[in-house]
Amino acid sequence: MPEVALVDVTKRFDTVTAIDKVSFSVKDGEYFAFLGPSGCGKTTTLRIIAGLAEPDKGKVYIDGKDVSRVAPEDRGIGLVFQHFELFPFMTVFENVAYGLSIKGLREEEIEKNVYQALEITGLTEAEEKYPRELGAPELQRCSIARALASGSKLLLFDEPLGALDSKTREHFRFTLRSIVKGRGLTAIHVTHDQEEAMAIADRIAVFRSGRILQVGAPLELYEHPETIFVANFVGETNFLEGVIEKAGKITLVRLRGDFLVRCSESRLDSGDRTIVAIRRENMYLRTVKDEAMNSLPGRIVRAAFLGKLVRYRVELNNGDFIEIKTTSRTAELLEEGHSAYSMFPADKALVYKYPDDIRQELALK
Amino acid sequence: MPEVRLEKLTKQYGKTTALKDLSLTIKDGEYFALIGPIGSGKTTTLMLLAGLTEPDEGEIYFNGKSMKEVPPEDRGVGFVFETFALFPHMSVWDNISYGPRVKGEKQGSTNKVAEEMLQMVLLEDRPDALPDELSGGMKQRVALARALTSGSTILLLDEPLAALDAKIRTALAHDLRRIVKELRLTAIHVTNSVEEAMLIADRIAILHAGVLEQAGTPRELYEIPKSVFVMDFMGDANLFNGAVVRAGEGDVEVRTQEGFVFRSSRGGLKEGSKVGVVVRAEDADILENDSSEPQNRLKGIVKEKMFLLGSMKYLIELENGREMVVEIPSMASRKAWEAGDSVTLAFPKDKVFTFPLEESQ
Amino acid sequence: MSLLVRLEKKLSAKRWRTTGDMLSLLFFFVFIIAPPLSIFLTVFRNWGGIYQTVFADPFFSEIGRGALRWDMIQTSLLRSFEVAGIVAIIDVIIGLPMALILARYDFRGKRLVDTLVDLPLAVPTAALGFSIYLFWGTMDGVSGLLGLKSGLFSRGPFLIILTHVAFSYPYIVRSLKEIIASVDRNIEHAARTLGASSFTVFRTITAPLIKNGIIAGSILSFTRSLGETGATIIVAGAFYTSPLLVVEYRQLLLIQPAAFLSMILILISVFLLACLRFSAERFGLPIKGYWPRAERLFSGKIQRRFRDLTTSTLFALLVFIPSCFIFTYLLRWWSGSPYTGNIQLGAFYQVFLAPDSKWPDLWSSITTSFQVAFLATAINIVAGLSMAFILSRRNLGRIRGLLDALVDIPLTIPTSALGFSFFLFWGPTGLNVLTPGFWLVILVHIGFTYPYVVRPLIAVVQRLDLHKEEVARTLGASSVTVFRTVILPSMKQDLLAAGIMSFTRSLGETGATVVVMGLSRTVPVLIVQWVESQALPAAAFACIILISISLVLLFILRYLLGWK
Repeated sequence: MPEVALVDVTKRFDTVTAIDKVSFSVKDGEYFAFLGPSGCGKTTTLRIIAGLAEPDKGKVYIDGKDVSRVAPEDRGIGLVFQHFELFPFMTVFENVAYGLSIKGLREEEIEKNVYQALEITGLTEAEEKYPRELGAPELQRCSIARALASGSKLLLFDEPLGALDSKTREHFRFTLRSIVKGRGLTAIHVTHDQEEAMAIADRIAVFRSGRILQVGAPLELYEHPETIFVANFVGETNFLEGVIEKAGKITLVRLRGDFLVRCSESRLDSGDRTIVAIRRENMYLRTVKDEAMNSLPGRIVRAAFLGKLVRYRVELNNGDFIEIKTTSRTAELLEEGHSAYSMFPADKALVYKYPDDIRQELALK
Repeated sequence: MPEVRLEKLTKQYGKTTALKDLSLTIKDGEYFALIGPIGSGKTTTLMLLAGLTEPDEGEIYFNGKSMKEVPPEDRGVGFVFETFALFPHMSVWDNISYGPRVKGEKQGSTNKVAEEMLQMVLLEDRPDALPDELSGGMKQRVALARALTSGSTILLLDEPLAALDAKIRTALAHDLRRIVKELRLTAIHVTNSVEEAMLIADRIAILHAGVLEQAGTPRELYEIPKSVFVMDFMGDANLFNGAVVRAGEGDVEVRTQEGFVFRSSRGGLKEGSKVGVVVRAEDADILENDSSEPQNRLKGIVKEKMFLLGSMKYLIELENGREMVVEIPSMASRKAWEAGDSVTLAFPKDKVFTFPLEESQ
Repeated sequence: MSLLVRLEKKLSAKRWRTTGDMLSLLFFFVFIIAPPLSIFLTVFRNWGGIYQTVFADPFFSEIGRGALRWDMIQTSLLRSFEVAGIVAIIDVIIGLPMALILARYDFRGKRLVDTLVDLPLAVPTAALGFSIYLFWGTMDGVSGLLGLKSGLFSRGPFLIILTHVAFSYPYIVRSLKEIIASVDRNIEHAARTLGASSFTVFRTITAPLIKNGIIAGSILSFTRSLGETGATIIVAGAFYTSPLLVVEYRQLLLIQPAAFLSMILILISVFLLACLRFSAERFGLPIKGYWPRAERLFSGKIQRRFRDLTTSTLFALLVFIPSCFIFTYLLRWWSGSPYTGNIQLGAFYQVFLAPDSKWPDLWSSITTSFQVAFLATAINIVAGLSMAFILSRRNLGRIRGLLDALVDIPLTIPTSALGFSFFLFWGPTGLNVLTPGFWLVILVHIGFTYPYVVRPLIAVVQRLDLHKEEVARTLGASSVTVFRTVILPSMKQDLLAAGIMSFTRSLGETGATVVVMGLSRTVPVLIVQWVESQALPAAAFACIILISISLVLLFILRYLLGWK
């Protein structure tokens, strides 16, 4: 039985439709992410699951029960916000114990649960401290401990790593996932950072303008994005305009400047306008043409050494600009101004129908 | 255009030392980046360069001329702020043309330069818009055009891309560099993001608690770091404390507190000296089968794995509980490991860095 | 779950919240809004009589035989407006540079200056008026230093202006300081790097951005000056402003002209309040022209020093020294007259030894003042907190703006008119529930301190972090439990601060109290009496007591707010 399910949920604020007929389900024990640009409805959906907002239409199920009209205090969930939201006038212990003290448990019971939560989050030393004495990572741990201690099996995270600096953020991804998986909890994690979602989640729902565009495991979203928006928003992609020359298992596309390239299978017809999408990591530069791969001639406009990788900005001979990411382990740094061939294999080139409004599709909002 | 020289700049705010003895030379026409953690003095440096605050000690020279008593309005610097700082009560056009107008330049020539700048930043079609009608990326371009129109030859940028979405950042970074190079300006760009600095700059300086740690090209900072701090800042570093057990010609052998043995080709240390050993996450290899050499091999169990674009990150628990992060590019290895797998990590000896221990904390 | 938590869960139901809201609104309308508004009804009902006494009956006055009360009323309004206008302008001129200094610069002793600027707030208006009168108007003050035999200024319009400027100075400096601080400094920095000298930056960038704040601040100064009663009574002499005229009519038991004038004053105040709300965008400032060379003359370190020096001197001379002068006065007149040595003219004798029992009177007025202030404050904290939630959290649509504006009404109406309206509403000519005396005084104080409690509480409630409450909900707490365990504890300091503000204001209130008190007196009223009977040293003593109490309270307030 799925832990969380939304069926056709719609929510409006005045004249704006925040989410429109959203449906999905999260499995018991899954680490699930909501990913999308700001204002896309992911936080609204999370709040509806928490009971902090009521859906105008549709239903919310937790563990099979319809909770659409149930108050937040009765849903058994734990909530963690970006800015920690600890009660400033309570110690770490009191904060973590809050949920239990409301329920009226005996002191020994409360202590036992609190100490357990503090141990899991590595905060046993900080028991007597006040929030103002703690740094950002510890504040977030306390926030998580508080949610854990109340006994909830479903954790909801709203941009939990947003207030941490980038190095801490990366490390915390491991922490969050370990805690959730270690206790067999279900988690829903809202973020606008696609790198974060890809790294931490079992499955991701990509939101845009109040709708879910695609749900899948990170690898699936990476290798098989269903729309141009997803291909652009998740990961880094080069987009090239062209026309289908021959459809089939291997699609032949004629790009601008008369380049002919071989791409993966598509369901379009010959003569259709198309957009070809290739991940920047799936392309590489060579000074010599390779007949077995697609090779596009061009000139290197910028070569930047970034430590573990190298980024190239290339102006193809047909006037298009692309970017290529290569690990610096495998190749020598090519120099700016030099000509080079940009290569990619056919099976990594995805073919999409040319959209009516290309700018809208490529927008990141 | 000008060469910018900072000589022993010191600045204190109350009891805090923001900058101590900073000396730096930025070449004519160079795109220079200033990076470091929060509070390391980067913004203070820009404020001193612009003349918006005075140093307690030290001097600043533009092309050899001292800026000691020169107020901001006479220094010829353009400043792009993190929050853009556009004049909210003026249109895009009025914002951009403010500089020449306030200096009393003739209407005609002001219009011409402002028009050019507007075009250069791709905003010709919205001269009358007010700042609060614009998106973040547009505001940034107006701020840039405004700084350029005033005729400045030095461009100071304080986290200009921080307030923008990650994806827009890389596109704008390329544009910034292109414009600066086309106009032959000297640019000093402050940022928190190492990646951004490496992408956009010719040379980089790392500041740490008001002190200059190291300055050089991106490659130099990455491949020849002078301290643990620089190494950790420029990438993902794993640090071990240990002592040198054997120093040969070229190679040194180090034994860490946990009992691991590392061989490094970056020698030059005496036997018995305490060192910090640093290896980068991205320099690790995971071996398929156990190999003979005991050096630079670490055995452990995969605790967590994370999917990144083009690579996989693993959290490995080594013997005796020590944890380590490694990153393996997807191209380099077909296989993906799972939590619970036993693995052997390997590090090439030229990627094992050692530093004297006083610095290592 | 404990009994309390279970009860709170039941009370969290929607219908209880609606009941609570209704009660708060009812309280607001009956106890705060109805009295001022009822004046219109009174005037309407008694129009005949009012017309007669105001417009028709001639009477003897210094204006001459056959003058109408309407003429007096007109004169008083004209004078009030003139005084208020001059005060507003002076306030902006001397207050703006001080606000700039405090908002933009850091220097040693800044906190001290900040505290000193707030000093007039601690001094109840009657005491302030008295202190200023002593400083400028008697030979113990400035004229003593200059060797003159009598005061520099006699009671009248000039002293009134000085008094009003002094007591509104902290308000205008504070509000301007906030507005200036809200302008992003980087915008000014950007303008400098683009080539503008600091004066040009002020004229073209800062001033346009704070324009609305300046206008709002000056309207506020104007309104306050228009309505000021307590201090004005002391320094006016024969000159009368409209609020003073209300007091005089009331004391002469000329109810009808008093009601009429009160109504006019209320109308004007409400109009000014509306102007404040729809802040005037019409005033432009010269920002289009550019005169780089001329403006450089105004910029630079030396020019800045000069400006700072002038600002500080004006502040010291017009605001600070006159406000504390009363301490010096009391010291000199403590044991007797410093001129003749006559002990009977000394404060000590007058208060403790004279046969007319001043000390017992003073003591009982202190108790009365405290009781009134405490009760009014306590009631307002409860009612005000509820109202603050209604205004900040409930979905009210358009009504919200109106309700919010209504809260400020007791603030803008001249206190004597306000007091009078309460007298009419609750007293013999209205509901006939109360006669002038202790309880009517309390009701009046509830009315006029209400905004002092609600305004800061609205700000506090708006700043409350909804996220914290949401987390508490998901942890299992119902809305009422969240209020008790999360919201109230985080508001403790702010509640106390609002309470102290209200308490201090109530202690110092004069104008409205004079109108509704019967036999019981508060300390400010006592001060006025003693001044009028020329027992100046005794009055000074009473002032010092009052000021000392207020100072202590305000220091606690600063400490609390600084703690945040």
